[in-house]
Amino acid sequence: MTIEERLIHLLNVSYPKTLTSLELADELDLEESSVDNLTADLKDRNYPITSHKQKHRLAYPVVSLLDIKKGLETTFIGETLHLHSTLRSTNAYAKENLSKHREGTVILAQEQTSGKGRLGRNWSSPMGGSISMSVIVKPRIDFAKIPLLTQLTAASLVKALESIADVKIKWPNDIILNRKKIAGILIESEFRGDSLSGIIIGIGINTNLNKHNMPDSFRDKASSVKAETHTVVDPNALIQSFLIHFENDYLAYMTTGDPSPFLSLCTEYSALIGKDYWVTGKDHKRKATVKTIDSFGRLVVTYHDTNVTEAINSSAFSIRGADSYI
Amino acid sequence: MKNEEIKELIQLIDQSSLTHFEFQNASASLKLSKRDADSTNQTLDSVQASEQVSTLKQESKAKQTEKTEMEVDSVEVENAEDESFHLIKSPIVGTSYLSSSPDSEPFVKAGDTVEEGQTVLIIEAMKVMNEIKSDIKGTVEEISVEDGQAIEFDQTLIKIKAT
Repeated sequence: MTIEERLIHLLNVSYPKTLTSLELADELDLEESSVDNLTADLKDRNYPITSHKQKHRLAYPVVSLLDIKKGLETTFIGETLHLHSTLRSTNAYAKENLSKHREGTVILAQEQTSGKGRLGRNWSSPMGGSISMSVIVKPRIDFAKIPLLTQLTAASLVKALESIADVKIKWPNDIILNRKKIAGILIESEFRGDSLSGIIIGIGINTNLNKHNMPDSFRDKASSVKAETHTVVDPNALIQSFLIHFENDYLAYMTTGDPSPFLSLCTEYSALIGKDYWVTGKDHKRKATVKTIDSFGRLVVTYHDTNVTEAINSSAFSIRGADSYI
Repeated sequence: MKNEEIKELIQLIDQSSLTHFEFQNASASLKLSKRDADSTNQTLDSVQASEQVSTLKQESKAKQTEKTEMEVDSVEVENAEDESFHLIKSPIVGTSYLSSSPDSEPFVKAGDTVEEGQTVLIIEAMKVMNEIKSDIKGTVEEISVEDGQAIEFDQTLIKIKAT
């Protein structure tokens, strides 16, 4: 545990109250001047710390391993946690180090410089405004089960988020709040020939980002929990809750092979079902009504032009509202 | 249909009491019929007439020829050629991507040298990006699929000549 991590932890615990340099110095066994240098340094590195007359506070709580671990009641997911201040992307890092990490390892970053999610790219924002997390799993499963992990993860994420916001799922991998994307899932697996090396469950959640920190072009499509609910999110409680739900859902799926519990949650929380969308393929764009999600996790749509009902599972399709993101 | 599968099928039919068997799928059609050669039950006595020996030899040769014909019939020529290449097949149903993004260079092209562990393509399914790495070192003989193509389980993706 570095001195930095301990300082962040202390500020998290006292949030939203301030701590004086003297209080921090006592706790950390440092000189007051060292505390002032440390907080100035963290501020330079874009941490959301405000300091005034030797009083320090966070604009919002930030990710801290001490705070995630406290009360993390899982058996293997998150048993090992790594937090980096800056990574290109947590998924890329997890992939590069896949063989070194055991099943259940969680990689976190305070800041991602080139996250893979389409909407998360190139945001310059204060550290800790979003959660960037990758969970490594190495199951011995029938590979046909792998594609449904996206919707399993979406269901676990909704369970973790529903107590703080009225979220919905835009099939299959985006989490929506007030018709805007606030979280996304990107799962990557690695095969050597026909042998599975591991699976990386990548999750990005816009927790405490401010509207003005997002590029104009994304403001009508994306948002953050705080921007929509006007309430500050505790990222550590959210991560902890997600890891607990994910472990339960993942173990159940591995044991029973039955996707119906999470698929029915995805159906219940669907942002698409019952509405009309443009289904865009390689060389066509057709209006369709979204009917349901079938037992294979596919989206069932009825096209308006032919009245034919079809189950979609291909990446060749993208779903858009007539004149908005969703 | 793989050669091994056909051999296994022939063995199974051989050991069964069936005298006739027909099978057809997209890649192969197979007709097997057993002739009453009884060769396995015959014991060769050293004093047996040479005539009989030669008849038996002929019979067993005929049976062998029949088997060879069946194998040739059922296996496509293309498949037979593949024996000399290492095939990387799809572990999953999905869509193939030959590059990491639409504007980037393909992971590999025919003629390229690949190292063990090098990414050769991605099969996407339900927003899960399955990165397929080569399990051998060699030269890419052929990329057997196109970018954005729908891929079946076990479909050949890439042929590699081991080096």
